Amino acid sequence: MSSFILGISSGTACLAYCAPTILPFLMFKGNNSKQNYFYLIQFLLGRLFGYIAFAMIAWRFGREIITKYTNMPIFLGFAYIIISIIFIYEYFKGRKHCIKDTILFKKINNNDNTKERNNLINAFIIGIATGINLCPSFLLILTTALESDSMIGSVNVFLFFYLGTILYFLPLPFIGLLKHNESFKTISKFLIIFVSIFYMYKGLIIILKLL
Amino acid sequence: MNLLIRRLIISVLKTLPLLFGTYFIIGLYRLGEMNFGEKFSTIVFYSLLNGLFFMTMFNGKIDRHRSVLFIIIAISFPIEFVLGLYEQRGHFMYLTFSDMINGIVPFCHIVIPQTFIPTIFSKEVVFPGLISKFTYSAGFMIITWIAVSLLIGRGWCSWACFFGGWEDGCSRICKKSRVKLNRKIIYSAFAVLILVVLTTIEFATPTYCLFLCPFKACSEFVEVSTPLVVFQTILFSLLFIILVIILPILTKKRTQCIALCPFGAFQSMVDKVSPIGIRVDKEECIECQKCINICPMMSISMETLEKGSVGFTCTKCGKCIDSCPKKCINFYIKGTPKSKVGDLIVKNLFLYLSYVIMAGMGSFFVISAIKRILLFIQTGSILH
Repeated sequence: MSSFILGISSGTACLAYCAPTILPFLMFKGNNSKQNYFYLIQFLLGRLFGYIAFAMIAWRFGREIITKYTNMPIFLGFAYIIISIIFIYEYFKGRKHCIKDTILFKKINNNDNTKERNNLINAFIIGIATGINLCPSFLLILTTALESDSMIGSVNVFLFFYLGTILYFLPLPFIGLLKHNESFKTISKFLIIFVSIFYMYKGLIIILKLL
Repeated sequence: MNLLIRRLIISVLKTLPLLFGTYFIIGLYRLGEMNFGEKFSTIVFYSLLNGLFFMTMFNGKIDRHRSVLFIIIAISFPIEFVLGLYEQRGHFMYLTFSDMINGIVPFCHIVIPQTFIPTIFSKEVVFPGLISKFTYSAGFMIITWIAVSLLIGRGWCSWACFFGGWEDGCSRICKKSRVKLNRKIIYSAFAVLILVVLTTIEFATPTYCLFLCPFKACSEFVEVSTPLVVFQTILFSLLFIILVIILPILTKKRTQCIALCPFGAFQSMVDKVSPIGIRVDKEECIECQKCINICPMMSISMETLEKGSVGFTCTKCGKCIDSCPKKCINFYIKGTPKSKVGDLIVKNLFLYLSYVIMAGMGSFFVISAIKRILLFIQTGSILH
């Protein structure tokens, strides 16, 4: 219960850390609020997957995980680069250009069902990549989880914390209501490119600092 | 001849209120206490400001005279800003870690959206500055911003911004534009605004200041001590050279303001609270498209003309008003009906407000810059 309350109280911080990834995605991809909710669900599932995986790893390695993970931000660097690549892919997917004629691109997006499946997969991957981001709330719940007696206990702590934070994400898909506006569409196209460049830069800086 | 004299007298009479107001704003009442350099500088600025206003009243041209002072303010700003901070802090054009810890980092208006919006969500001010007791404190800038925004909205960008004159000046160098921009670029600054706000909240660092602000090239920047800062320095220098110097020369547009400035995008939204706007008389408009071609902010298009308005990126510079052969573009109070007399009154009201704002925002820098130039001529040193 305390984890759930902690999730509610620090949910705005979680939203602040996740918004730069999920918001541009919803602005660019979703044609309406209903579609955005599907993407958000995938994103949250990805985030949940990241949380549970981390909960298991945290219980397994104990307190070592805090120093190991914080001293090895290379995972974070790669997570940022993955987010950047997904955004660049999403941008080019809907446009006429020479890359679209390549065999690889055609293979990935051979029909509408495949395209929609890829959209959901991308949202899921972005969720995982964002989920392993070390935001303050994440670190707080991690230290709580480390004190659990069992792996189930550790997973429960993360799970209830996660459920507490979900509330703040629920209004995000309503951004799809603006999708009929041409100005909004143009802004979202620029935004997804800028965000991808920014995360590529952030990821490279983190990785290069380690080399 | 009689008509000319009549126009002259009316223009003088119209200038009198500004002469009176700026007498106090610029500090002319303290002339007796000033030394020669201060007296000279103050009188020069006072004469320049009021002379330009007189010419605006005399020949009706807004942008031609506004731009002169706007560009002079932009050139004067780095002279006083850089040298003044050197005298205060002892180092030239760079911020040290100690400056940031002590909060003596100048707060400029461009920072406002990336601090104001995150503060609402996170209750933290993401900027290493002071609210007061520092020459360039956040408190002074925020109060000024609120006052100017309530009066002239996005007119800030053409009348108050001490950086805008760089692009304004560069965009006037060539007679014809050599490169045409796609109008969709006006949405780019809004994307930058969203990016800057989201990443400032996420990483708790002033993203725009660290990575994107090109005007660090004429103010100050983080001390170049690590490879990351070298990269950031190269980035903002390139942005300055390309967006502030080269592209405005080639396109005759204010490309940094259009494509990058998040404050400008924010002011486009804040402009809704300003009572004064610009409208187009659709009945008189002959669709010559002079206003579309001449607008430095790419604010006007056939779609906006059909609606009888200018676009949301309008900075109220007056260039379209000056260029319109049918005089069908005018200032107006939002929500009021069309009226030639009413529009003229609003135009004059706007000009009084804007010149007072220019006096308030620019007097310190121009007067100080002239004082420093005089000091250099007299003593060989530009420092007090």
